[in-house]
Amino acid sequence: MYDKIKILKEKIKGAQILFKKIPKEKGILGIVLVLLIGFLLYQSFIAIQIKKLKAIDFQFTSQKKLIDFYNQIIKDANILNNELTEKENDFAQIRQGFVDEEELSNYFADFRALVKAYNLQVASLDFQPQENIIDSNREPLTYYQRLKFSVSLKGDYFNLMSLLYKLEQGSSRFEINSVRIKQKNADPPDLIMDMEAAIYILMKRG
Amino acid sequence: MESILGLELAEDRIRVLEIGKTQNGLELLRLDKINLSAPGIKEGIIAGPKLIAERISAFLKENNISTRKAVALIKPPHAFTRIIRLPYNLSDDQIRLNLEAELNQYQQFTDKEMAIDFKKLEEISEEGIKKVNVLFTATFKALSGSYLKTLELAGLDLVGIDVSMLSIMRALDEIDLKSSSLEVTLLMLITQKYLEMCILKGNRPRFLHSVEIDTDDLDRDRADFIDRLVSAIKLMVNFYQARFIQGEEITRIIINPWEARYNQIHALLQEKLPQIPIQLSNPLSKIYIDKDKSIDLDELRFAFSGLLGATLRLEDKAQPFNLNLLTEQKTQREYRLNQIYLLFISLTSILTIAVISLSWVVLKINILQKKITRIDSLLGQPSPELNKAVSLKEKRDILQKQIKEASLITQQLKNPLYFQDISKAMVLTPEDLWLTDINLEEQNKNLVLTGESNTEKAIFNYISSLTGSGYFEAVELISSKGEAQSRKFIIRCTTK
Repeated sequence: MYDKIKILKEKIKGAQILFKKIPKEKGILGIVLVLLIGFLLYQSFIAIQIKKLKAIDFQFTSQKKLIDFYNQIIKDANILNNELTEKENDFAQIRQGFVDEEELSNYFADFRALVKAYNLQVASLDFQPQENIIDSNREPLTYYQRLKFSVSLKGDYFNLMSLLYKLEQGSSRFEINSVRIKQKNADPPDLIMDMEAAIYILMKRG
Repeated sequence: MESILGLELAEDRIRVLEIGKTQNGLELLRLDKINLSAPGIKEGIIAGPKLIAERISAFLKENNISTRKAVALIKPPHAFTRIIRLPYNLSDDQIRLNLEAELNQYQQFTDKEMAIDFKKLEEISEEGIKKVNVLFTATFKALSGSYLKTLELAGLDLVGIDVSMLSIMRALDEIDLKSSSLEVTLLMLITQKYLEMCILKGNRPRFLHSVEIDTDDLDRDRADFIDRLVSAIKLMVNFYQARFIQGEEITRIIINPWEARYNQIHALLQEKLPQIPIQLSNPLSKIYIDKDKSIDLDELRFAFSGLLGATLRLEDKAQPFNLNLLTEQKTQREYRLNQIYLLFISLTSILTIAVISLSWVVLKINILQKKITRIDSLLGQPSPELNKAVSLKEKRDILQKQIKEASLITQQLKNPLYFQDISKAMVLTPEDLWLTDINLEEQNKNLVLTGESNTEKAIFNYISSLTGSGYFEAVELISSKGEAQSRKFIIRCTTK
């Protein structure tokens, strides 16, 4: 063991002498050459593979997270179910304020029936294109759109006001932007009510 | 068995001697000559290395010589050996510079690239100044380079180039020249063209000199030749005794003739120098010689004595005359090889690191890809529980979003309660006043009432009632015009 250490020491000493003997320029050139070759090897072979490894590692991590997420979902299935029930109950109330996209024709049929029920006449009913509702981040809402329309109704004061009351107090969100009531005839009193309004539509997605 | 070949190259032949370490100690294995048909050596330098190498290779093959280790022997005028006295504290580089300057004084070496090897001998105090004797030998770099190349081509590893005088010293070491002795000896080496002389104390060389001679003169005029030899000896002895080291007397002369046919020369000299005992060198007891091998002992004793001394390097013994003309070139060569080796090691290390890194990365990629494939297959066939749970989650998320968006709409939605505002305005209408137009716009929060009245008073009463009701933020009369019986008016109420 002692001899081996001695031999090793001598070898190290020999290597040191060899290093010292090498001229500075040659040494620098040698180091540069070795580093250059190392760099080229790295760039040509290893760097590409490392990039690939990083991409695959990212893919693997994502998939692992997805698996973990799924496992968690399975584990939390009961909680999810309860939450879903809760949300469904909440939404059941909320959705009354909105008109389903596919229920639009029925809604306006009902509206006409309501007008008629109040002994009023629909002089005109004009729709504007459905528009997106923009949130605070200036992004359109996914599930809701606004439908603006203008309606002109004829009838007496009492019935017009009753209808107005009915619409305002109704379960659906009925947004009135302007109302104008004007007298058409003084005797018998005959009024025209021009109204600009909007309703909110629950869109069917996915 | 470890053995070594000694080679002495001349224009017409190569002398070969092999010794090896056997159970008999150092044993002579071979003594031979390779004849050269075409001259491949010019002025000591091997001009046709391929030709010579082929001859040597063929010889090795023919004689089944397996050893690769070889040593070459050269002699004057291609080698130069001297002892010079230099200041004690010089570095090796400074000594080398001094030696080069010394060599430059000789015409044959002037401005030539020289291979030099030297060794510090004993320290001396000269006139109170500390000095050192330096034994050195030199040859042309072209010569040593050609030897190195040729023997490499022949598949041999040339471990050294020895010079004749130092080889003879090695051959006679501890036989005729004992390290423990204080006897001063003049050793003479007679070659065909040169007389080399060395004064030794014990086995330590003290003074070296060489004189140009022609041994053919011995055959032509023996007496004259002997006289010249005697003169040279006397000159050397006197110079040494008087000028070099005072008080030391040369007690014997040992002669080594290069050819066996001059083996009586010592007797001739003895007649002329009866006061100093003269003897022939005899290195034969240095090695074991198998009598069955029918070796010409005289050849070995004289013609091959230098080669024998050169091959005795196999002993690997520290001796004061151990110089090697190949050291410098070998060192340079080794240095170059070391540099290449270092570069190679560095590149190999980098390549190894690169390969290991690459393997690790590729392995990891493969492992991850396998895991991904497994996960993919799992995700491709989800369990019913998962499907159900995902469906529940999706539904919940949709509902959550729908509720959130609905609450946003609710926050944005203003309920102006038109009915209330209008009905309030209507309720307060006095009898003698009627409204013809009611306009309520959310945009400017104004309820504009247009109507007619029989009296002005009724209009102002109406404004007063509207203001006093507290239903509106502000009530103002915009216009009132017409005759006393039928006045038309416009009132603007700002809703809260």
